[in-house]
Amino acid sequence: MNTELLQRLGAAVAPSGAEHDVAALIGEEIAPLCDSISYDKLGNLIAVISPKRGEPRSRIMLTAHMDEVGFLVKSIENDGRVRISLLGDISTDTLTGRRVVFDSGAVGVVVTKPIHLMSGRERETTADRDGLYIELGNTSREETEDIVSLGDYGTFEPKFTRLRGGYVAGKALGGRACVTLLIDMIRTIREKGYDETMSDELYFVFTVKREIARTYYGADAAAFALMPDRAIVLDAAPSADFQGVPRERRGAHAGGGIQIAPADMKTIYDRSMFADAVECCEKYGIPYQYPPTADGPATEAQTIHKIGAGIPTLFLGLATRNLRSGAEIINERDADAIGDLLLHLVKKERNGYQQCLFN
Amino acid sequence: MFVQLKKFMMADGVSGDEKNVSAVIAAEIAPYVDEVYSDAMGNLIALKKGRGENPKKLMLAAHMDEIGFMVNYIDDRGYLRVSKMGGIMFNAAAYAEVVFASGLKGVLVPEPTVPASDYKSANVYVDIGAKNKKDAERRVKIGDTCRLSPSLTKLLNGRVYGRPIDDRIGCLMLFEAAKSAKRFENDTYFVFTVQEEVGVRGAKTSAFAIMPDYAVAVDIGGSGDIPGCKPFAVNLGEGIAIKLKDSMVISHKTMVDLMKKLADDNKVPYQFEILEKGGTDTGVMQQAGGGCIAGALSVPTRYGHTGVETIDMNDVTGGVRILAALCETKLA
Repeated sequence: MNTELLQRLGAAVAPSGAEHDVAALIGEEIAPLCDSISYDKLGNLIAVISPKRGEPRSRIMLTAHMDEVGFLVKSIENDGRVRISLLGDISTDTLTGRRVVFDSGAVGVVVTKPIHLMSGRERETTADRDGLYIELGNTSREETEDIVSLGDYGTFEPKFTRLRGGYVAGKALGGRACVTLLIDMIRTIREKGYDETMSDELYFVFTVKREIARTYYGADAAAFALMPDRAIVLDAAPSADFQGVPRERRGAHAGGGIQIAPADMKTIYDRSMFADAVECCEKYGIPYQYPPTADGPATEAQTIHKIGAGIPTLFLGLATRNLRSGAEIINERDADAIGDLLLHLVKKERNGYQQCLFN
Repeated sequence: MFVQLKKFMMADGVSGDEKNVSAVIAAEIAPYVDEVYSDAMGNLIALKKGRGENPKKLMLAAHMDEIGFMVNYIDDRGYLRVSKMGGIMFNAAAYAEVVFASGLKGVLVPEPTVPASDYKSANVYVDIGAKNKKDAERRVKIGDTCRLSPSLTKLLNGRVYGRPIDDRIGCLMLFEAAKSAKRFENDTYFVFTVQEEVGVRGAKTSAFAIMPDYAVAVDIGGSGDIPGCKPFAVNLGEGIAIKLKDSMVISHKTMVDLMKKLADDNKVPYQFEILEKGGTDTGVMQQAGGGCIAGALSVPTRYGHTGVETIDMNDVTGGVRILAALCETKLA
């Protein structure tokens, strides 16, 4: 994986609904490499690579979401503090005491009651969402209004850290690594000339509004408009390798390979795509693992697979520790494994017989 | 009908894995329709074209899938951990035989110290008799599904119990209607849907492709005549239930009135069902495209989602007559 690119994409401030900055960065990277690139009305970025020879056998959509969790400015208090409304399912634990940035460029710190003043009960629970505010150092509403407006977006301050053993940490890394993998794939297809021999038309869709989704995802609009024959959803998946989780519930963990899911609580993944992905990993020695349960959290596939007359869908998860925090941890080897597997969609063997995925 | 129902029930089809039951139904219904095909998700569609000019599209749906379990972990000693597929209750399934599509059998057992009210996927496992992980992996893969062993047994008064009556009884009723209708006035799509038990998923995509003018789902309902149950005005053996509402749909008045009229015309007893909890394929069919005139028939059922689902075959016979009469009615 191109970690330099990941670091740049990870630094972009793009909570759900304000994906334009990261979209612009992605656009710059891929525009010269794709046959076409466009935005739909919701803001999904859609890039197409067609086979250079012959009619495409089928049309495959690959998705990675651009957005991240964050917050919206809800009110500005008379004392200059900012109250926020959270975007996405975030534990307030991950926010308190954190440095944050606004899309206006302003910086602040999330503040809540210090532990010294907490009651016994308060110590045992996470901070109330309404009790959070952001301190900018101002003492009046006017001062704050000069740099922040109602409805401004913000998120964790970006800070990229290399840990040992191929692990990297930073905000939004799980999702942005998936974005990076699709960009890497586009580049590799062009550099290695896979477009000369590949048989499917590929739609790379960088989606919006995943983190705030319950029953409707930004990806739905793109899937409905494109009506592909198949879809592959890439996303961060929670890594369950911490203490206190019994061994049989741990399943996928950061550093353990691609997380390939047979099913989750909202989707049963296409049986043959699932089997093909596992077989391909086995054949080429690509590390993979299964999620801890078959009723885990939903993905964009929840709605994609039911669009139109139905779209067979596969999910490839990047195991991420501290998911939805200011320091998500992923392992580069897992990302590389996903990248390797994806190339088997387009790669031909020397004997001209296409191995691998979805034949 | 009993033998035919048994045939449908013996084929396995846990949600997402409906291929086997689909093959059985496809072979049985083919002689009575013009076209049989499957879609991307695996829904089975049998089309009988209507006579005359510009026939309307009538979609009849029953789901092929059944509740069950999916293997999500194999431990060192060869025990399997499973996730639920659909609303199956661990306490109703504990200490019972489960069977995989391969024919492999196992028993579903809770860990010994857990009280029955706390059974969940974290403390229940399947014992297939494997000696260790490697031994188990020779026969089972992560993602494989299993179900409670199928059975169908006659009780008194034309009543039967077994599993999975939900919703092979609906599949049977569609099949019997296709077989017994004397003429087809509408383009009638007999749709055997997938993944109903995990959230009415297959009906959504098949209805999108068909875009019906009229739609009727056939599924099991409840029964208000068992000890200790909540008040519910449906009783076993008092006729097929015409659905008025459930948690996903309000049946279209036109469809309710039409089914009521057809029942009266054919001297078929019926009841009305208002289901407080739960939905069927009707909910998503009604919302396909610009919407359609949708309703449902429910087979009064005791002990749904257990291994002893109990129905009265007299209710079923009446339901088939309403469905056949619907096929014979020129819809406007």
